[in-house]
Amino acid sequence: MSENQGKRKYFRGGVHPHDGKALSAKNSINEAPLFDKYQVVLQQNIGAPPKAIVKKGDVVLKGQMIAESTGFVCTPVHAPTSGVVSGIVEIPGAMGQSVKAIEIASDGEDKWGSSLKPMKDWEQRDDSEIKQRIHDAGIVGMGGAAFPTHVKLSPPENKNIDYLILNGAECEPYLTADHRLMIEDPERILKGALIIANSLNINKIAIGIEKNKPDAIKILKKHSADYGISIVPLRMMYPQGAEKQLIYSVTKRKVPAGGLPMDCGCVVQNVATAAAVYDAVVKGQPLIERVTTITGNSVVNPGNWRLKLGTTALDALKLASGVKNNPAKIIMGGPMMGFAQKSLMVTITKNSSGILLLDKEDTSIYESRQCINCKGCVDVCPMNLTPSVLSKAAVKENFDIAERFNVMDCMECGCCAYVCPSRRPMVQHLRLAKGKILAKRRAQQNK
Amino acid sequence: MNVENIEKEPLVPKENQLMISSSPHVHNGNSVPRIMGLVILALAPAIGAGVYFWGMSALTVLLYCVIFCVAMEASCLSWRFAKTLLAPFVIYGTLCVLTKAIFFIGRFINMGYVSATSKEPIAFIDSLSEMSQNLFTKLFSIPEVVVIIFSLVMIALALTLEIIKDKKDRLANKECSGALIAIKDGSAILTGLLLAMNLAAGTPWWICLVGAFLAIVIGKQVFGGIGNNPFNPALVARVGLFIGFASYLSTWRPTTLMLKTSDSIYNKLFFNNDTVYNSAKTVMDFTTATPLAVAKELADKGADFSPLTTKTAYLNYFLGNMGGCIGETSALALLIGAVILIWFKLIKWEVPVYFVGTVAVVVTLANLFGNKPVTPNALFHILTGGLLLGAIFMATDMVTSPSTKLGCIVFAIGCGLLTSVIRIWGGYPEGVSFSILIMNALVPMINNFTAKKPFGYVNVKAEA
Amino acid sequence: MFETILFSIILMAAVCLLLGVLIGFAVKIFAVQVDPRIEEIEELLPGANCGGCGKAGCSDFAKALVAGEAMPSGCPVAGKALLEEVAKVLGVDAETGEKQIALVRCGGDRSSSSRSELYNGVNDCASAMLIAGGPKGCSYGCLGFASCARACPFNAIEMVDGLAIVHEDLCVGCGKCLTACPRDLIILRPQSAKVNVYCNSPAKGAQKRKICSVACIGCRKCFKVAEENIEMKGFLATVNYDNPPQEDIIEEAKCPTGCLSTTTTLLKKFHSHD
Repeated sequence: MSENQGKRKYFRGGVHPHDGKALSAKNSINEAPLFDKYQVVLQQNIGAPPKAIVKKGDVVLKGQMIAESTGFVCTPVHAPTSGVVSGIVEIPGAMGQSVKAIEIASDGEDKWGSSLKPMKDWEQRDDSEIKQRIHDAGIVGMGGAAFPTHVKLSPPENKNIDYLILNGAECEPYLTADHRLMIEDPERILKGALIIANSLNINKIAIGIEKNKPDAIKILKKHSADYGISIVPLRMMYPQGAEKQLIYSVTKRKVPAGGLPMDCGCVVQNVATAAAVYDAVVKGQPLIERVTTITGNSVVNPGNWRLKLGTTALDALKLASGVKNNPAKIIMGGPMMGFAQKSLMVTITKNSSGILLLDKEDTSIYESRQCINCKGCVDVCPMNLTPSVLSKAAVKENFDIAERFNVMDCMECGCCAYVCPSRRPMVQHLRLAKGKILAKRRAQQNK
Repeated sequence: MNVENIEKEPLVPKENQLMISSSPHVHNGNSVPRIMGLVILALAPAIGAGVYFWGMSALTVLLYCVIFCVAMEASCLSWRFAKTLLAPFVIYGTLCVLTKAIFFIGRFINMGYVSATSKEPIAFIDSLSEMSQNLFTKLFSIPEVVVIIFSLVMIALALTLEIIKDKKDRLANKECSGALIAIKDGSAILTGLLLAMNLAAGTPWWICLVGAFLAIVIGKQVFGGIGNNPFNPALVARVGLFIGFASYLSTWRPTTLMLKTSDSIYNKLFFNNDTVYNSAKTVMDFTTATPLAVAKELADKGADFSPLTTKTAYLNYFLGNMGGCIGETSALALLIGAVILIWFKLIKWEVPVYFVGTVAVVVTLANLFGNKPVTPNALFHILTGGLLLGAIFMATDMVTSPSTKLGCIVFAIGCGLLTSVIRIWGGYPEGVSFSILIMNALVPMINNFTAKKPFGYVNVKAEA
Repeated sequence: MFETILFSIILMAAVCLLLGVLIGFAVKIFAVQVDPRIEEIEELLPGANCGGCGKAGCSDFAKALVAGEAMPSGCPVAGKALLEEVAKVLGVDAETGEKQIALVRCGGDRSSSSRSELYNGVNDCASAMLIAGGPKGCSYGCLGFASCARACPFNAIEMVDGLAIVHEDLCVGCGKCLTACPRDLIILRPQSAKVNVYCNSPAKGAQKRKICSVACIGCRKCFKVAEENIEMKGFLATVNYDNPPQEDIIEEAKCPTGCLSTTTTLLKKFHSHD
């Protein structure tokens, strides 16, 4: 902890959006009732899609594996409740594309049937055994990217990892799922962190939390003393929770451009992931539920719920007593990086940290007017890019210029579009440019 | 709360009413009109100073420039607006040409007739051509005031028509008029104000009109409108006018204050003729020279600069009590504007500081190396002429300055170097507008060389 | 006054004459020898510089033709008669094939398919695809942001109520629109194949029916009528372009959604709305 004292806990750039967390920050996590059916999306991780191992008519138990992993960067999927598989259906995914999902009609008994055995003596177990368990439990990064956790914990031999950082920044406005989890379940998070650190054989652990959650900082500080985990209060600033920015704020190390956190000796895990790791290892529970915030000014009862994977947004909204006035947008995730939905049949996946309903007044309307080169986006870009140039290049389809100005380092945090006075949909421009450049690179590789 | 309400099925949004768009879904509320409004606010002290020193003659120039710029912008973006505005002038012009033509044709026919038949000219044709000539003289000699008032009324009429059409379109959910958007974003108003700041008080209205044309049409719209212009529109107009109408652009009026403080040595420097000075009543009665022009003259003669750098003189320069453009004289007002701009984060403080600093350094160095001073000292150069106006409002223009902070600094230093070179060794007493325009042209290159390195950038060559 | 004008005119004429003579000599003296066939062929070629041949425009193609690096049939735009003429200049065989034209395999305009009208973003198909998969309910259908129409150098694609339709008489089959479409909806088909299936969704029939009233629901009616002309790919009927059906198949098959149709019928249907 002494290493970090006295250093400024922030990065260059960033914005201060209205955080809106007051809507649900005080509401403790509610247990959701059992719904009639769940549609569990098959691919809930970045990487290879897992293969379904159940078919229509199969009886499954809660926690039973229903899809097995097909490669290293892949995680299995488990049944959220007991019941009958009513088929493999196509449902809208969070990104808008239609995705395959296993539909389970609940039998109302919620009978447990996981094959994973609790490991109370995890300290004595082998690293590989812990990692295998994390894989078997289907744990992925629950902050948003859904990167399989066991892959993150298996760095190549030549990388020297010495720092574990837990991400409790939750810099996305409106979302409070991690915040409530830190207040209500500090022990699970801290123990989960120890398990992860143990499997990597490192002893430097820090939890970065934004200063707008003083209650969480206090509770975690009280508990962390026994574990040797340092709590780092961070300056309130978006995107404080982005991996590279968090590492820089906490350790002042810079992840090389185009590199991974392991390139500077760090591993970053979300606090919810740490809690899930604890459940998987100590209790033998696979990842079948997560805390999700349902919030927004037009939600009748905003709050945080523990939802089973595969719950539809429609069911989740009904839990929050529906909406008051007609919201303009429904967003999976936070307002800065979340995805606007055109259907309410989208389901909760391992990385759904929130469902946000925005009023028309709160929503930004893009007008795509001319860039007046105000340099606002250049000032706020946390990746130190020039979004104005990139966006103009993308509009003119000059993707080579975009590539030369490092568009591939963009993480789509949305700071540029947030401050743009001409209301240009910058993130859309940059995403298009990134997609085109990736396609070009792939084509070149295949040649 | 009654029981019925609770038992009701909770309301959920309808799927076809959901808006989809790219993230982020929130915005900080900043907008182009807000930026333009704040810049105009920052200009307010300088405008106030100009109006204070020159009274109505400054105010009219300001009004002409703003109105003509807005009209030009609206005409460029809406053909309907341009039609409404131009129609009466086209009719007027056609009438003039027609009457003159009838006069000439009549004369020609009669001349041919007379020479061919050696008879008396045809009376009917003669009287017709006479009438045409009379009509033409009447048309052509419409008083200036009438023309101005008529054009102002036409602009107002065209605007009203545009607003009515816009309301109709909005009700019909159609795309609204480009002209109104342009006026609402305030950039034309700002360009007009900046143009007026760069003109002398008492500039005739038609110079303002030509200036507005140069600024909006040549400087901005031919490049694609707001955001696409490589050069600062107000400066394009100023330089265009300066080259085209040099005498009008370098006719400076003394301030009202200068008339009151009659017998100081300082004032005598600026007035060539004492008798005119003593008999003059208002500022429009005679002209004066700017301190920079006087300095240039003194430098050419190899004379001493000391009368220009007395304490009273400096105080006058600081407050703006000297000849010059409407907006450039009062250093105090411009500095207040700079504070406003920096406070609202509209400009980076580096740009004016590096610009002014470079000029100060070059001027000081130029005076150090030499037997005697070639130019007055740095403070004189900072306070007089358009340096502060240029450094605070022109070089910081968002559209025409580089994209990165480093680029902006390079840009500012370049401006400073060129300005001081033109001022000390160049043919013109003032060089701010030229230097900024030249640096504007270099912006794409500066952008290319000062491209930012992304967060965590590792030099690949250094590693290998 | 008159003298001045006269003098000016005479002077100008003299200067023009002098310069003209100079330029005429310069052309003769500094002339560059080129194969006259290149110019001849270039004049014959369509001159639209569409790039359909893979070269950087028509003049580049003409150079390649004369150099023997390309065959006249490489130009997808030129008709049979034109190709024969070009071949005559070159002294080779024409090898003309059947002319190919583009086809947008979707028939769902605004009124017949579900679509989120509240899309707010860049008006471009590839960009719209990035936002919730595009505003269209169907994730295979035409997005209607006219990316293909903008890419078409011959203005052959008309946007009708959020749907791209290729005009058969204007399309020359250069294939520019194929790459512009982010959903790979556009294919090249022989011009003689008038009857097409205006649907590209492999989804289940019931699912398609929910979001689109003109989708192919996989009823196999057309397949039963003409097995050798129609291929069934799961829930999607496609025309076998090696052996395309005749127009009377539409009458016989009685397609329940009308997605087995011709472009002429589609255009007539949409223009009757106005």
